[in-house]
Amino acid sequence: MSLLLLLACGEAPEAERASPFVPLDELRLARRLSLDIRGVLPSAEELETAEASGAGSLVDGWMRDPRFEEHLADAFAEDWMLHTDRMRVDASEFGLSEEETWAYTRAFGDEPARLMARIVAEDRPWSEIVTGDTTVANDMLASLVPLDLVDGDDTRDWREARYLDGRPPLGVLATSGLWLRFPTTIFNYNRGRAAAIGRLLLCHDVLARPVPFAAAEGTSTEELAEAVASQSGCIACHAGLDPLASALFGFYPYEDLDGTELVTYHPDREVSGAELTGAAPGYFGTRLDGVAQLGDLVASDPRFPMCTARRTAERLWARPTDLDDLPELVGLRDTLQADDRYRPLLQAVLATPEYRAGGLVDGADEAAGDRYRPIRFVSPLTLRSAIEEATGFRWTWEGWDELDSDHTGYRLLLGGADGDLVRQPHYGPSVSRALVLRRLAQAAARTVVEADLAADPGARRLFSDLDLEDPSAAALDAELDALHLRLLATRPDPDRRAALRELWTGVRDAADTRTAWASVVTSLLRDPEFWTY
Amino acid sequence: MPGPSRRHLLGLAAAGLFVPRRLARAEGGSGRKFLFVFNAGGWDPSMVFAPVFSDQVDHGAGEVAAEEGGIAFTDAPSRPSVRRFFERWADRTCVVNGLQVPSLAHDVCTRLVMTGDARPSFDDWASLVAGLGGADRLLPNLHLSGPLFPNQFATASVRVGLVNQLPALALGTANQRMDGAPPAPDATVEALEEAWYRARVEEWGRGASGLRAELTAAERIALDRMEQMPGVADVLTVADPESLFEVSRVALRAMASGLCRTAMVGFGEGGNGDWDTHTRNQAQDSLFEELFATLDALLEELRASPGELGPSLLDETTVVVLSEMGRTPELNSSGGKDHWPWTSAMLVGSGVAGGRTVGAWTDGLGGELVDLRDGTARADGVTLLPGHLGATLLALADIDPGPWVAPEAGAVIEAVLADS
Repeated sequence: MSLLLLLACGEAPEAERASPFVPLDELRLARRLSLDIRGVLPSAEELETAEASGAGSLVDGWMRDPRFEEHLADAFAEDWMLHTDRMRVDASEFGLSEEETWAYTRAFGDEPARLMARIVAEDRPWSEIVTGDTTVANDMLASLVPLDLVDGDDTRDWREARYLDGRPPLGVLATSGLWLRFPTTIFNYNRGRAAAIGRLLLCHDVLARPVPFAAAEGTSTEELAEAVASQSGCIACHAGLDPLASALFGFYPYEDLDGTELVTYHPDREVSGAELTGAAPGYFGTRLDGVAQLGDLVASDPRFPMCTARRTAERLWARPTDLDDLPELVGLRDTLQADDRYRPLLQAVLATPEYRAGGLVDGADEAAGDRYRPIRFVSPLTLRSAIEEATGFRWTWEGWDELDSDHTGYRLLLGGADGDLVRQPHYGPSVSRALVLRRLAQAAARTVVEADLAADPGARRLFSDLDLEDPSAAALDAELDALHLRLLATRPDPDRRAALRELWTGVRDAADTRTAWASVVTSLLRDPEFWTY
Repeated sequence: MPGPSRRHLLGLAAAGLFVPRRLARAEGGSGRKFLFVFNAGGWDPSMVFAPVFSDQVDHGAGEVAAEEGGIAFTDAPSRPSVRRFFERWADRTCVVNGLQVPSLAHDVCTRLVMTGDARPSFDDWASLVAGLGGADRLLPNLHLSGPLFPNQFATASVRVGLVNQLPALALGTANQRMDGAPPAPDATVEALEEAWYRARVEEWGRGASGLRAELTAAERIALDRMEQMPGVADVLTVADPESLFEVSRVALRAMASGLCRTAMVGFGEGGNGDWDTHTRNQAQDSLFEELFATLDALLEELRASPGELGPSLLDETTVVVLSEMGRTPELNSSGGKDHWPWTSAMLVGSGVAGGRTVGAWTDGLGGELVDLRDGTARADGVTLLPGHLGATLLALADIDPGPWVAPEAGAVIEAVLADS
């Protein structure tokens, strides 16, 4: 009878099938959400709210937190690989010192990311990222490019600004930062930049397709230009790239190693593109009457919102998307398009099962594991902000931010990408990552212990107001529980608490009480539940 | 098409093979090691590997065609180290010419030449060899600089950093490079912390299955390696991070100590010049001179260093010298040369058919079709692609290329192999 019933009904609808994943509990979900929205750990009070009302109840408030914009800028920067230690021109080209190099590279690298983050934080239309007529700048950027700070609030590091060199209103496409990060050479004629637009904004990477070169039929500049326009293998890409490259000629430098040339807009060169690329300015088949049109064409390109949805989902699902995800991506795209706002898209992604998965049910197959990634790794920039917020420690050295650089820093060793020769992050366990985390945790722990010991009552950053030097047994246990909850968003079971107490006691006996607290915090900052989320 | 699997993305394929030990034994087969010297930016083959003096190729002043030990090259008075190199090492050197890298963008060409595929889910050759045939070493693929494509075998690669970051972390001296320099714990305290953390990792993985179990295993390996790092920090410390020779010596020392099977070193990444000479192509003159002078010194050091299995490390090591693309035959109006999809690679040392050039150039610096068996140009031959180079490297590493390089992407260039 049952078999007949099953045969008659066929496979159960998906909604009725057992879900292959187990959602995160509310505490760990709050931690994941807070790290992904603000780049910091939830406070003890926020964790209480998550338990009482659900972690989802915190999302709206966190998106109004100033750290939302900060973290979003970091997330965009990591996604677009905007933070590189090496620019086309060195800091010295602008008269800056070696110690200013990091600030210089990040001022330019951050500009597009900060602009996008500002647009989202102020809940402005997402299409403004390619149509807006302002940018944002910090003091370093403002000192190097021709712009005026129009935001009177000088308490903000990054203020609204307007370029003074006649560049068109193209949002990030009109930022000096984007085009210094993705420069052109004299003979590339902006084609690399056109490809970057496709890759970053449309998820259309023309360069990823291997080109079947025939035997060289010509070697002179003229013959190569002719091949670009006539050989099928060349036309396939250049027909789309060249008109777009042609539209960017206001940004084209006559000297590609001259800093001022590279960061200044040249309206008089807009007309040069047609001659040098052989293609009139255009956007994938649509001729441009003026370069200012470009932003509207990107914004109205169906690939633009789809690409935004896809990149956001991939970042927050911690995996690449594929065709199986298409229906869900279409829904996310529609959410973005409904009001041309990024926040609803972000909220929608954060509510997906893929985002909220915390484990797999017994017997779940590998495909489920591929779809619902239950564990993510904290990226270098999120690690930086989370550790700094929790402990006050930021690893800097001689002007360099060491978790956000490779020159002397540790981003590559943490599994990050330098955006140059290493373009794929790999945040899984490794010896270099383990070593960086150990030294980072040790330094951060000792910093916060010393600071909190010296702090006035009620002003401590991490610890409660207990007597750190001589806690009672009950106070010690309570503090261990609180630290565990704050840093890992889980409550220790008796065995774990006993193990932490044993560590504390052992170190106190071997050294002193403050060292004991530092060892406890070090251990929690290195914990697998800290560097995963 | 489904995306890469979870295991693939987490790079855990090589995890689980590492067993801590002081010295590594050689892998099965030859146990051959590989030092990759990657020249970022795109070198100009016509300045060394392509002595093509047709009216389609612009050469620098004084450049002439030369031949040494069976290898034809472009000689120039300003590059004495190139001639000296071939005089000394031609019998151990095989040049692969006319290699087509089917793109003109640096990042794509780098991916292609190092993985054989433009898609992002393939490991680079160094990681692949180390992951498949050296994962039980302490530092299977030593990444000092240059490209890295971490995928399935990501755990095989150990990143050292450009200025000795890894040894500084291992020894604790990294704490001195912190503003504010919080005090580091003393050895007793650190030992207690380490014991606690190890126990905690085991607790985290206890009873776990799937991803968490795999991560636990990978973290265990990382900790095992970490424990041994102070003992090898000296080996990994670069005397002069700006010097290709000094950086490469670290790789040699690590290979001689049995610590790694493959190593990657980049040259021309800013501090020591840039091969991407869209203006003033002649800047490559000094780069080639430095490169070949360094290679000469490195090979001498390899020859003088005892190997794991025999008297000379050179007999156990293949040095792979390559760049992601070539440069146009003719100069542009700025005296530079632009991107070109045909390039060369040079293999020196163990397992390589010395005194041999594989492939050939057309008058316009295109690649001729090639017979893979003898390396000569043949009308019914094949276009040499990065996959051919990769398959050949895998063969040299005693790894069947079949599962890793699709047949259409390339087969073994038998002419490169000494025992062909």
